[in-house]
Amino acid sequence: MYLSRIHLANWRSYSDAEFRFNKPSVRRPLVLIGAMNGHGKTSLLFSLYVGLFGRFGLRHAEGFTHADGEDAPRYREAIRRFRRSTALSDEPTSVELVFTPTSKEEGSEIRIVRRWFFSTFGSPKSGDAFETLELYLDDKPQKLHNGIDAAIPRLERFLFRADVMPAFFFDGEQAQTLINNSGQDGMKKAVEVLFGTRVVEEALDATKQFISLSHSKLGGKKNADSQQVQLDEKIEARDAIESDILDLEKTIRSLEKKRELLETDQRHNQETLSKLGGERRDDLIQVHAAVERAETEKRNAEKSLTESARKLGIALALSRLMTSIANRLNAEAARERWENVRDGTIQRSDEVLQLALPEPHSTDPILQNLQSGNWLRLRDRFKAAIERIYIPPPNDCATEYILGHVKGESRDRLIMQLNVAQGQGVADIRGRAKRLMDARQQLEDAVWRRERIGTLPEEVDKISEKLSEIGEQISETSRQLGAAENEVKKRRAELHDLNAEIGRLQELLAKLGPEQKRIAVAERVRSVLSSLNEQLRPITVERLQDSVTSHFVKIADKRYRKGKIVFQENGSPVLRSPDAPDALIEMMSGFERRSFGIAFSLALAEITQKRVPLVIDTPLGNADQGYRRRLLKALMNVDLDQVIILTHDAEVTGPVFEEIEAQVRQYFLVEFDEKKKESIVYPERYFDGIGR
Amino acid sequence: MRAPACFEERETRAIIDDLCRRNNIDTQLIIELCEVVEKFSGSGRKEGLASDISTCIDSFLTRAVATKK
Repeated sequence: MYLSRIHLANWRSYSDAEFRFNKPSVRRPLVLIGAMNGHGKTSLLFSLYVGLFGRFGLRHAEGFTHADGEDAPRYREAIRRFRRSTALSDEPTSVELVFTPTSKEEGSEIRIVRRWFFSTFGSPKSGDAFETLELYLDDKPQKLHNGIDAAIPRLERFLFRADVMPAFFFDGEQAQTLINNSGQDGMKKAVEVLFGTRVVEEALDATKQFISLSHSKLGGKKNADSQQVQLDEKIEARDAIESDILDLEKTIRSLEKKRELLETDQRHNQETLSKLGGERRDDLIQVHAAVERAETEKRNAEKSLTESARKLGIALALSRLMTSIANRLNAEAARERWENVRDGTIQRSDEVLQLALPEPHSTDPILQNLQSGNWLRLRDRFKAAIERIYIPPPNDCATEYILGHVKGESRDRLIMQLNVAQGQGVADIRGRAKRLMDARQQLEDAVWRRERIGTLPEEVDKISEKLSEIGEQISETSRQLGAAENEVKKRRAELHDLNAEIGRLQELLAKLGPEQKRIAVAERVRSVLSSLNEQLRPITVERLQDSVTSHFVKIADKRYRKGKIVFQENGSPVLRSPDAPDALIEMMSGFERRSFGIAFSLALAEITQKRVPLVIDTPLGNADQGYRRRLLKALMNVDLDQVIILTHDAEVTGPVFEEIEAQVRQYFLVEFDEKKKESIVYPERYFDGIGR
Repeated sequence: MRAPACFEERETRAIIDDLCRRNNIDTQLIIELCEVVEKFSGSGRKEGLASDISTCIDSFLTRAVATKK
C-alpha cells in the first residue's frame, strides 16, 4: 500500500494543494519533500494524523497527546488552529488521502475525505455539523451507519491502528511520543494487532460466544440430556479455571513488577553503599572474626616458618655447601675415571712392550745386537713413557680423595639426593614465607576494615537497614511468585484434563446432530486459540525487541552496539548493555531517541509485514555525518514500498542527497509564497536547483 | 484479505500448525475464523458472525470427510 495522493484545502498554510505520488518501485521507494522550516512540513505530517483518524488521530499526534478523554473540545480547538486563517467562512477545511495497493498486493484503493466546517466568525460548528467523512473503496462510497467514527475500525483494518501512527508517520524532531507509547500498554499492543495476536484473541472470544449460542440453540439446560448437563457443568468449571488463571497471571505480573522495582531499589542502595565504602555495621562481627582469624594465621605462619627453618638447618647448611660438595664429588669421580683408564693402560703396558720390544730380543732382527743391560733400560724407559701419558691428570680431576669413601654409584646417588634436598628445602621455605606474607596482608586488610567500620557515617546504618528490609521483601515476593506460578501450573494441568474430558463428551454428543458436531469442532478451535494466544504473546514481544535492537544498533552511536532494547513490563523502553545499568531511552540524547524512533518504525514494518508507507519528518536534523550515513543506510536496507521523507535544505542535500539519489522516485519542493500567503507545491523540484 | 503476519511467519506458523494437529483440526479453519472475526471487528456489528463461523466449521467438516475418504 502506498500513499498516492494528499489533497489539502484551507489547511494551515496550504490553500488548495495537492501531492500526487507515483507508484514506487522496488529500486526507488523514496519520495523527498523539501520545505524550509515554517513552510509546511509538519502541517503536512499532521494532516495525515487527523485526516485518517480524526479525533482518534489527534490523541497520538505530537504536542496533542492526552489521556483525559476530553477529545472533542481539544480536537475542535486543534483543527481551528490548523484552519487557514484567510479561509472564507463557507469554505470547509479538508484533507483528502488516497492509499493505493501496489502491484504486489491485493485489495482496494482507499480514499478518505475529511471536512471540517466553521461558522462565519471562524469558530468550529457545533455538534455533528463540525465534521464529515467520506470513505471510498475503489471509488465506491461506503455507508457509515453509526456516524463517522464507524470508519475508524475499517481504516485500522486496512492500514494500521490509530495508536501505531507515530511509528509510521514519524516526526524525527519529536520522538518522545513514540517512546512513551512504546511501553507495554501502548505500542506493543498495536504490534499485537499488526502481528495478528490480537485477532487470535478476538477469534477466541467469538468462538466462546459461538459455543454458548449453539448450546442455547439446542435448548439450553432445560432440554439437555445427562451428557449435555455434564458437559455444561464441565464447561462452567473450565470457565472458572480460565478466570482463575487470568487472575493468577495478573498477580504474577504484578509480583514480577514489584520484585523488579525492589531489585532496582536494592541496586540503587547497594550502589550508594558502595560509594560510602561498601561496609555495613552489621558486618562488624564478621570483620572482628576476620581480624582474629588473620592474627592466628599470621602467628601460625611465623611459627611454621621458624620450625621449618630449624628443621631444615642441616639441609640448609648442606645446601649452601652443595655446590662445592657436588664439584668435589664430580672432581673425584673424574679422578676415579682417570685412574681407571690409566691403571687399565698400565696393566696392558706389558702387552704393548712385548709388541714394541719383544723378549727375547736376540731373535728380533732390530734389537738382536742390543746388550741385555741396555735392552732392560730401554724397556723401563718405554714403560715409564707409557705411564707419562697420564701425567698430569686432566684439569677437572681431583688431586686427591677427600670423600674417598664414597665411590661409584654411591657417589652418583649422593649427588642426586643433594640436588633433591636443596630443591625441596628452598621450595618449602619459600612456600612458608609466602604464607606468612599473605597472612600479614590479610591481617592488615582486616584491621583496616575494622577501623573503617568503626568510623562509618550514620547514613550507612539507614541504608543497611533498608537493604535488609528490601532483601526480606524480595524473598517474600519471590516466594509468593513461586507459589502463584505453581498454582498456575496446577490450574493449567486441570484445564488440560478438563479440555480432554470436554472433547470426549463433545465427540459423544457430536454423533447426535450437525449442531453438536459444530460445537465439538468449535471446542477444539477454542483450545487451539487459547494456547495460541498464550504462546504468541511472548514471541511477539521478543521479536519486537530483537528487531528494534537490530535497527537501533545500526543507526545509533557505536558505543551502544552491544546493547539490547528491552520493553519493560508497564515501563518505558530501556537499552540494556553488558556491564552497565539500564539506560532509559527517554533519558538518552536527542539522536539516540530519534534512532530509537526510526528503529521502532522499521521494526514494526518488518515484523508485521505491513506494506504501508513510512513518512518521516526531518529524520536527520542537524546530526553529524556518521549518524546521517548510518540512518540513511538503515532506511535504504529495509524492504518498504514507500518512504516519504520531509526535509529542510540543510538536511538531505549535497553529499547526503547524492548517496540516496539513485533510490529517489520523486521530488517535491514546498515554498511559502509571501505574496499569496500560501504554501505552493512544486512537483519534480527540489533544493539545490533540481528541476528548475 | 491478507492473513495476519503470525500465520505467515515461519516460527509462529509452526506453533499454529502443531496446535491444530494436536487438536485434530486444520490451520485453514483457524485462518478462516480469524478472517471472519477481522471482517466483523472492523464494522462493530455482530449479526451474521455466528453464521459465518458455522460456515467455516462446516467447510472444515466437509474437508475432513473428504480427507478421510
